[in-house]
Amino acid sequence: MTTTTTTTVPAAGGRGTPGRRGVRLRARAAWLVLPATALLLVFFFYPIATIVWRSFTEPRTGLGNYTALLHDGVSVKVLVRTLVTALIVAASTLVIAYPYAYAMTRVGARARGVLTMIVLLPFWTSLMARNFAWYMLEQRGGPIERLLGAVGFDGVVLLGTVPGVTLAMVQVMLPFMVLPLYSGMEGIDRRLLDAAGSLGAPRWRAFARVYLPLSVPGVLSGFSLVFIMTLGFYITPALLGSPQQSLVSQVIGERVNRLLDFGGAGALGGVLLAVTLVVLFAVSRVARPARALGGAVGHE
Amino acid sequence: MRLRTGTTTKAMAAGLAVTAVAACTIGNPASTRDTLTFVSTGSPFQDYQKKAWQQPFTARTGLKVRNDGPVDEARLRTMVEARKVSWDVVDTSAAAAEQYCGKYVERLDFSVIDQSVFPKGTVGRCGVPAYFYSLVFMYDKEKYAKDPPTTIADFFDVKKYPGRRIVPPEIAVGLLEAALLADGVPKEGLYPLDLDRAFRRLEPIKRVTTFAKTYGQMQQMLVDRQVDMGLVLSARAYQALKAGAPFQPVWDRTIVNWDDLVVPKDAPNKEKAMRFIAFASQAEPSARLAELASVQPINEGIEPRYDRIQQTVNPFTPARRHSIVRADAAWWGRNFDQVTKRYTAWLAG
Repeated sequence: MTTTTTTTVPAAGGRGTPGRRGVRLRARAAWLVLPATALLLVFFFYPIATIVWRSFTEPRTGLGNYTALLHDGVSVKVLVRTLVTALIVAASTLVIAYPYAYAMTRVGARARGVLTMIVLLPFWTSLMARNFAWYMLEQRGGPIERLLGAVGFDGVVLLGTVPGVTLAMVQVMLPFMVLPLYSGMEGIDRRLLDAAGSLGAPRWRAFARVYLPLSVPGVLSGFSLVFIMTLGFYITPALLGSPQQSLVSQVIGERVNRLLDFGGAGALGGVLLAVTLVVLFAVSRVARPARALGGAVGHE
Repeated sequence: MRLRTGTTTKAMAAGLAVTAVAACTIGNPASTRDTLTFVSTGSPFQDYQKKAWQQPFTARTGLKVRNDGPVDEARLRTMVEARKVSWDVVDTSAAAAEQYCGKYVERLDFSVIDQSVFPKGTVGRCGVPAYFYSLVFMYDKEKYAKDPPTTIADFFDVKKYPGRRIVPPEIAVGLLEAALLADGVPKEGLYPLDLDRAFRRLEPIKRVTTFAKTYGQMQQMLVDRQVDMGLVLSARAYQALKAGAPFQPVWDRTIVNWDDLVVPKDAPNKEKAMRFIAFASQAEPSARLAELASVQPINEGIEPRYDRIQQTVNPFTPARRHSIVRADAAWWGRNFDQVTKRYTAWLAG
């Protein structure tokens, strides 16, 4: 971990030089994280390691499963489709969530409570229920088709298409965008906008030059969270998608359940994992200076 | 209290060890010696198997039967590889029984199971038929009231019969066979399947076809009239008709498949599993399952008392049995992976 952060950033997670007291605290804290660590190791890292291992060893040792992905005529196409879908979902949720989260920081405590409830309400509703609701909305003869038919677009059935899956996933993923955005924006000191105004900046410029950059850490964490979750999301594509436009999670499911091809499925999973790690790494690189700035400003 | 890091590490290691041991004991249910574990597709079908097979079996032998499910070949493979098999009798496709024979499923003991009761060519070394099921061409009789389809070729003719189609979630139950028969391949020369020709024939219907994800979805879409015609398993057709879906069968070509009963490799109660399979292969339990589940019994000599709707989707009547084309489970066992890969690529492409 980095130790170069300046001492003006206590919010950075206690990464300052630890004194003796720090060591003692850490030793005790280790007990607190023990159950979680044990769970993660046994039920998360061990299975993932097994999956990755099998992707290199089954049925033969080597890169066979990975090179096969390039040549089977479907994996690359599905991976690209999945990445594009995830990008669209992340971008769409961002566009919807940004003004919403902004509004949450600007209203009174009671209104904020209501807005938070509205975000969390679907979050507490069963995922299956929400997906089935979308199923009803998107099916042939459903409300969406009739609505679009009424305004002149006949026969648009979203069920079984990527746009249909995207629409539902935007709704499902919205809380994961709103909450990080809100927690980022909440820490932004509004007086900086006043300062910009007093120096002659119009409101839009103050927003674009001061507020927007300060909200970047929240944007990045929300964007990467939604993007990564969408990449591997199973339920929504499985229910609302179709084999003709399958996403990578469906193909992995097919490999495991139908073909018992654990190696090939592992390779697809491995590629997803790699993409995820690259995204996380890129975000952590970009976000760090901005976060430090945000933290410093927020804790003046 | 003051802890040094060394102690902490040791404590963490100990904690981990405990968790690991706990994790290993999960999923290893105590398999008692007088309880068989039966695995099938889940309810309601498995409930029918419980009534038709398990309850009379328990009454006769005193052996209890526990139910687990749904069948998941991936789980079967994992259990066999981990040497933690908790299943005794599994209901799976005949193709899977062929494909995994000796690998994940045991050879059957034909001194216990009477193989003479099954039709010729349906008995494998690792599986015997549990019941037969048929892929029936059904169409919406209100939509096509004026000019109803009469041959399997009409299913693949989107010009003559425009409309939405639905086909089963599994490729091995007859879609490719139907396409080839529609293309003029004779019944006798169907296998080995000419895949190029079959996929060519599927191409025109791809855009207007729902490739069902589950049989439940297929049934529901018939009931909701989301589709105009379909290749439907008889049991699902029955349920849809019972719920009032206005569909009518075409008795031109009906592809008949079957599920096998198999015993997983290293099953805890192997001999009793063989006895269970022998019991389920008798006329009375087989007829009872056919009546409850709207499937066909293990041989044509057995005559279930079907209700009126079941009779409308039963292909084994004298007037209809000319339409029957039996699938070749051995061919499917050898080619399942290859065909599935090609089918998935074709669908997703």
